[in-house]
Amino acid sequence: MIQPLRRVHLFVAMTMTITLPAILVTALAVRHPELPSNPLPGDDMRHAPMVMQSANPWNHGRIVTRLRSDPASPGALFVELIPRKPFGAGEVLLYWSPDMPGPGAKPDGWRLLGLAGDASRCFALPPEVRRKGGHLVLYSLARHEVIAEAELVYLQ
Amino acid sequence: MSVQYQAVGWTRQKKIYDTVLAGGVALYLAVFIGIGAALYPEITAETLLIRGLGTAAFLLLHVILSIGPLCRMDRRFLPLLYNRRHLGVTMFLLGLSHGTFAIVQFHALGNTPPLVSLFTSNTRYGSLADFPFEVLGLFALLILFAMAATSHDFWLHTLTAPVWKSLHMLVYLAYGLLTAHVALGVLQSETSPVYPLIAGMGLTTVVGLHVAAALRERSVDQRMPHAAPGGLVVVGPVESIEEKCARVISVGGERVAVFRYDGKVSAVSNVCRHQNGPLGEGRIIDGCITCPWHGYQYLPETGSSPPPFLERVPTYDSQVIDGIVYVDPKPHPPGTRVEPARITPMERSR
Repeated sequence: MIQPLRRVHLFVAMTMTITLPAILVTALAVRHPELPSNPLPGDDMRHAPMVMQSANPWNHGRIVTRLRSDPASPGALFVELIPRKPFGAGEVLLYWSPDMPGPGAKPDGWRLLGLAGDASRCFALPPEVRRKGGHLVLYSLARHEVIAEAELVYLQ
Repeated sequence: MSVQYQAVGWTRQKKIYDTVLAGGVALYLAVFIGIGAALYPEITAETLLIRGLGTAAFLLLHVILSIGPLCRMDRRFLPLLYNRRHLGVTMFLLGLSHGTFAIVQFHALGNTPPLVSLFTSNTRYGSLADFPFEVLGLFALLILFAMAATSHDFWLHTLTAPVWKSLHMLVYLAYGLLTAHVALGVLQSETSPVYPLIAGMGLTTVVGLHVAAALRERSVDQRMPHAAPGGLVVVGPVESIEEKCARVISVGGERVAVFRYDGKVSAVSNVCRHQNGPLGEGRIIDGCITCPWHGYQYLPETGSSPPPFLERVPTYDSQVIDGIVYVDPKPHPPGTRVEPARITPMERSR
């Protein structure tokens, strides 16, 4: 390297010594705090009276499923899902569908109930469940496919 | 140094170098994706691939940036420098794949054209935590593209070594942009302390090595040789120069390499015509001064490459008086023949 470039290199090295650690430290300092784990809608229903329980009504995987009713709101139903192992698919959403989803089905006309994580969660069911029954569908947004479905028994 | 154009002059060493490089990259990606899939089964294969390519490129950039200063401090790293440009092109291709897959994954599935989406989906330039970090990666990629595209010796000869080196010093800007890309991107969402720790270690290594090398070079530049009568400068005793090696002195703002060989002393510019490598850190092999960086050769008496090659460096007059080597700091035009100073047996035995 010739001398002018050696001088530039020294200047660059000194500049990097100051700026790059500053960028790293500042970026870490301004990080958003971790999202608080607020209870999700339906989570407070985990101790509501149980209407029925099934060890595994799903066609794939093993998910303990409980239907619960809300004493404060007659007629309202909740479903509690307790996955026994991780879904193994990204961005799994729980839908309610009036009909059984066929092969390659997409969530058109389905009702989104919420994001289904690997921990147990409660979801509010739509009122039509009491009249139509229908199906619960776990759909992976990352894979764009149904990963499991379960038929809801006629509850009227 | 070739007299005719060759896309890549493949030698056995280059083939081994590139095979090890390709194998290393493939192994890294396989291990990264394999461990990632086992530890985080919910992450999609596309995401793992994007992260694997990005980390591979960033890691390789750290290796590339460390090679230069390491070679200044320890000659054992010189074999890594020989094909450093192959590392650079590989790193660019990894970064390009990372960027392409990321744009397809995050910007190509909507109604907006992907590149437009890249610039318009997040415009919170005033916020550090929500800064559109992908744009930083794109600008770094453009710099790396310019470097990869001009990495061939054709561009080195066309642009001349000082201009080419200046252009390639933009790598430090690219490194800064990529550091910000990582700090404002993945480090914002990943809360584990391991990731900032790894990033900090990489940063400390690269910056520390460059500062150490730059300060060492400055101390050499500031070491002024003693003046002697007749406008000469003192290099030192003959014995202070190892046989077939050189002693480097700084005169008139530039460095001169003073070689001792076969009972003679010759002085040439320390700057190789190829990539401005330090000739004085090379050796005389087969009668030629051989640059330690890429093996370019020059005859010590003329500063010219042996035929049919055309590179030439400036030469200097030298003298040996009473066992002390002197150099005239006024250079001759590149390729000028200068009679070597003779070391008499008496001077050799002093």
